[in-house]
Amino acid sequence: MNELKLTGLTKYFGDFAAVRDVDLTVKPDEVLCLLGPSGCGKTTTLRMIAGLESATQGAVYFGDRDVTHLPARDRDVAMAFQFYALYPDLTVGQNLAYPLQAEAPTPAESADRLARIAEILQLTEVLDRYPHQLSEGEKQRVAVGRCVIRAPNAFLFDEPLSRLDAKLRDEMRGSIRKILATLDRPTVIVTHDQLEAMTMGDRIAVMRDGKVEQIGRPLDVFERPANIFVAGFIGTPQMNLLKGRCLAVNDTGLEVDLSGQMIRLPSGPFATLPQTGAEVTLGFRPRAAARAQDDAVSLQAARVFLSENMGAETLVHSDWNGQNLRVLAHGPGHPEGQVHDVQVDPADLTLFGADGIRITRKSDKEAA
Amino acid sequence: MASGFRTHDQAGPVRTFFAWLVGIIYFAPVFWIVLTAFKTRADALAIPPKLVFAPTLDNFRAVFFQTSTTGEVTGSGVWLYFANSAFIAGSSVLLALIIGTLAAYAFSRYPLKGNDTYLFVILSTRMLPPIVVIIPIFLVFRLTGLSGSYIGIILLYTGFNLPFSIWMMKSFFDDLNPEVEDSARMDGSGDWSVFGRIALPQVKAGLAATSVFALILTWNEFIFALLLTGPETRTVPVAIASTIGGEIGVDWGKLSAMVSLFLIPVFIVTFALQNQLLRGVTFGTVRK
Repeated sequence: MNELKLTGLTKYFGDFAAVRDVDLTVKPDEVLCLLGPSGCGKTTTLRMIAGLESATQGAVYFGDRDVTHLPARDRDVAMAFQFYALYPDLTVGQNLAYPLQAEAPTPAESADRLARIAEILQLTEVLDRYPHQLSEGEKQRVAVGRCVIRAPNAFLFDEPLSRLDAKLRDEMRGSIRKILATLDRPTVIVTHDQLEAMTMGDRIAVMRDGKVEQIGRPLDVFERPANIFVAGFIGTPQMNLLKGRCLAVNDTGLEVDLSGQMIRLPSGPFATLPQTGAEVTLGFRPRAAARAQDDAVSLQAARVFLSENMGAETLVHSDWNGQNLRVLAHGPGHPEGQVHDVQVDPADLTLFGADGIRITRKSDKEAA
Repeated sequence: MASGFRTHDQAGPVRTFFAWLVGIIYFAPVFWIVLTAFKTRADALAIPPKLVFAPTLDNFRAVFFQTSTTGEVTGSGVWLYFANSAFIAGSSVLLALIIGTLAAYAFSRYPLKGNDTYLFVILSTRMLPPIVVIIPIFLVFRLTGLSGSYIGIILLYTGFNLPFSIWMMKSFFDDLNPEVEDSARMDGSGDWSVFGRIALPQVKAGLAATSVFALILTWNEFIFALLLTGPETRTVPVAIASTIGGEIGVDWGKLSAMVSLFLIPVFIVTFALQNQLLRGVTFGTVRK
């Protein structure tokens, strides 16, 4: 099967650049998640792949074939829409079979495929019902079923789980992942939910303001975010990002002034070093604070102002010299007003330069 | 109880009373006409008006048959007028619905530069009272030989119904979720198939509402029918008017009988489409 390739894809609505210069390749057996906040251009990108939106510049390829100027009906791409877009005056069975008109298989084969899809998605019982008679979960399964009933050039999913409640969402995430694994077609999922992206995508493309900020495997993006935006966007609870200034840099270490408190970091692990006097941002995950060792960097005298008990863990929000700290602690406790020190292993720290780009570590290459 | 909560229980006695009151006020004239249709001339003119009387079918007989001076009874030819009304109203509403729906879909889905201006211009033809344009239209009809023909009056009514059909149907198409049609396109459907198989079934209520409103307007139209139809193409409203006057003054009984008969087709159509109609007229208010 052919890969899906976007080169320099750009979309302007008037003067507004919705999508800017997006380059992506999705392999036939790969699921790529387009992740980003609302308005970042991810849905517009999807619609350009679908042929529902024309590209201002750039091109869309299925394999070697340039389909940039083909209308949607001739692209043979299947898409599940955010609001399902079921055909309200057709039954579930007719909805599922609708896309087969393009391929025109024999009636027997159509019936066969319909029965198989209905069974996988547990829709056999409701084949004769109309969309308005379905539950939200059933509607979502019909949308997915109508998408995967054929073998198109690519599969596109626009926020496939956004309308389901939390429990259904967890279930469907698993079943969609399972179905996608059998498809062997390039698949693009648009989502604003980083958990969905982390769990469903083979790779994630994080978008902001129409541009792709980082593409990578979920764990790579999580552990080595390309810049401050990606670091803050991926991971729940959000990564702590502390602003500071680099006071001294030498072979053994660098000294950073964080809100008046001096922090010493070993310089060895970093591939490059910031200049003396440069502004830097120190990032660490709230969970990293919980497993700190003796040689840790210590952020002293943080005052708890909000304690969110989540059962097994407590998310403790503290004020530290005017900067906000989020720490995940085991078990309850940590009353508001308490003053505590936060310890972080230097290996868990991510350092960002003045331009917001992550300062790479020597160990990055081995990990990637 | 005025709790401020909206309940889905049945209306209380007060609301039921007012609903009935409004209903009766609206229905009273129709009721009075139907009542008069069964009255003798003396009963119809009685003061104070009679609610209890001996009903007669003489008025209906007078509508369908006429008695010549020699005592010979022949058909009055009223069937022709009913057939004319049905044919002219039916054809023009159907035409306006077909053209209007296609135009509305185009305005909604493929907007032109200056779309709103076009829509305004289309509606502007309904902003002046019809009487203003009656002389030019009369002259045009005479010049083109359309006067007295079916085709002339059907074209005219179609033209009158079009702005209304376009605006009404456009609002229904605007309310649809465009993703559904996008989806059909991606599933391999062409524009006509998307329109016919996906969009059109979703606006059934709109088609019903539009056709009933257009039908009522056309069915009742009088002035243009009076001036532009001939003896062969005369519609019922013109025929009704011609019963007024004559040597005995207004024959109220016959007039009422004719009006009663005239109401029946519209009643039937409205009842047949009632479910769709209710959804149709409340469509926008619920959705927005």
